[in-house]
Amino acid sequence: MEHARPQVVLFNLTFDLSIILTTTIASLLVFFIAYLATRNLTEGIPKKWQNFMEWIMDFVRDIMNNSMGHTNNLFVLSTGVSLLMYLFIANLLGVPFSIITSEDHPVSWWRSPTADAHVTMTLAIMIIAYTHFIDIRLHGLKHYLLSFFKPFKALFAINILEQFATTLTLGLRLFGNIYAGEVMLALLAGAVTHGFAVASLAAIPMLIWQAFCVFIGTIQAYIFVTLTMVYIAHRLT
Amino acid sequence: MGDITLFGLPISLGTMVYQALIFTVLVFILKKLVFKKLVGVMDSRKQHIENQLQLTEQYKQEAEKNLELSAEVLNQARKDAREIMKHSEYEAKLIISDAKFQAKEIVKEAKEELFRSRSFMHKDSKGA
Repeated sequence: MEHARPQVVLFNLTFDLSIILTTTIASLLVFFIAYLATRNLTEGIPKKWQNFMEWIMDFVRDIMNNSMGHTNNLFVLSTGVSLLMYLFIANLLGVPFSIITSEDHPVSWWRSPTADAHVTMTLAIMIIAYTHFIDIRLHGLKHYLLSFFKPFKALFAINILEQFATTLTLGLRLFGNIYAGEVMLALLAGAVTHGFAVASLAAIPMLIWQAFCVFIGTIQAYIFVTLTMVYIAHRLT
Repeated sequence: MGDITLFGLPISLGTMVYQALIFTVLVFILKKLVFKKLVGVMDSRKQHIENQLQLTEQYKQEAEKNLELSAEVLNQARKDAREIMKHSEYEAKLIISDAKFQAKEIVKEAKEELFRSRSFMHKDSKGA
């Protein structure tokens, strides 16, 4: 089921065009939803779209308050809300359909960007890097470097390993869940090529699996944001 | 195909750079254009509701005080009314008894006068 990716090389860097396409669309969707929903802000009784955005904000604020106590950090809140919306949309992009062109060899153009480890690992690395950054900024470089030798020096290797492990699990958990969903969807969709009887047999499981993918996408977006907040909170104390 | 391979997996750095870039841009744009305003609006609404709640509490206390005050005034008025009634009853009794006494006096006087005039007439007729 593995298809070739549409890759180009620019400035000695390889770019995956399908991921660039889907991440750009996901980002634009998040931006327009957030921007249009808050175009006419009111301090009185909010209309439904503003209400929707405020609900998301409160949701992420609750996650923040649960992990790091009462805080008003706008940047962390912005990151959390953006992350939640972005991951939710990105996880769902590949659920309704996928586009695979097949001239001489099949090339996959449209699928969830989060079904590719590049995207999820980049986000995970950014988040872990940010947690290291706030640790240095809050407690100073010396305290940061010494924190790798706590509670005692022998644990240095394990502390280093822990950082790699958290990064890897944060990124790969999301990737694995979405990727597995997409593989299963592709298998079920492939039943169409085996005649009408097989296709009609696969229709109901396909529907159920799509619903399950929506569920998994939502849960994984929530887990990703929650873990982000936990890792940030870990550095604050 | 990829820029580097890690444990045999090809990694395309360009994709990662683009992903990092677009997400960072998204966060900063949303923070500047949307979340700042939205948090401001939500906070000021919270403040507004808190103020309103405080005001209602204040008004409630004032209303309770006013209610107590008016109840006191009502009680005072009732008491006054009762006293006035008692007083007026007493006065009325006084007036009535006074009137009765006066009436008796008048009657007595009239009788005396009648008696006197009669005896006078008697004397008069004897003398003639």
